[in-house]
Amino acid sequence: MENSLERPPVIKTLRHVNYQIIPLVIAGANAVKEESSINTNVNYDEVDGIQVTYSDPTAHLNSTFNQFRIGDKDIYPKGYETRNCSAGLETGVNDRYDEEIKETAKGSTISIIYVDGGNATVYPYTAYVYLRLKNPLK
Amino acid sequence: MGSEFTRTKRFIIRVTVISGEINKFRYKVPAEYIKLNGFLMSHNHSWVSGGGTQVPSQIANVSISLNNKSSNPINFPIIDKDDSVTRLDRKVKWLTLDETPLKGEYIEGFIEDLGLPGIGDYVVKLYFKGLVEYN
Repeated sequence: MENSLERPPVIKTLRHVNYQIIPLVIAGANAVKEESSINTNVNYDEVDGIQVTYSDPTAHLNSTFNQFRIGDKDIYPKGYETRNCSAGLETGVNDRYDEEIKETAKGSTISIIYVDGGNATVYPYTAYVYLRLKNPLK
Repeated sequence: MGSEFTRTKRFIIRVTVISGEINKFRYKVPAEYIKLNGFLMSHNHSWVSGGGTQVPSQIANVSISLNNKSSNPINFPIIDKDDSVTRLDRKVKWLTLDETPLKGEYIEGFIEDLGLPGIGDYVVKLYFKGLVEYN
């Protein structure tokens, strides 16, 4: 008799949406953290959202991106406050993203220069940059 | 969000505000922008001035004209202790604009600081976002 508990064959398909996390460890007040060794997930076509979260409650004050590039495209200008792409736990997790992003993923190089604003309660802390990656529905 | 042929891009105008003065600025809109559709403002005074029981109050006025003064959509007070800058419990919302910049046109305006006592110099960042052609 055939075993009814036998698992069905695994069909490997990519999810429509995926998330990529880039942790930036900030060592001290007014530190500059450069990250340019990461590529977007090669299996996804598009970056369509960005958010930043913090391990410290006041670290966002006056913290800025001096550079945020995906591939050859500037996403945020120099001096862009990270507050503008951050929201706290009171905001639904799906609503925290800066959604006016539409950049090619497919393994694009991510280049970030993060400048701490000098207002964190404790150092070091970690700023987490989340990229929302999508593939078109087929 | 624009069509599939456009992408959103942002730029910042930084204005150092001298206490008690009218601080003028003039900025040439980059030629790549085909539409300006959002505005946001922040200043660093709200948190450099520290804690305490001070009641939020107006410290300055900002007035911004677009397209060589043919459009004047932004006239706001600047509020001290503006906690929308410091709090993370809400997502930042951009003021909606619908301006089509002509090539080589300027954004210009002024920030009139009211010269309140105890308020020194500070920096205001004026953020604009708009559509550029995707290439």
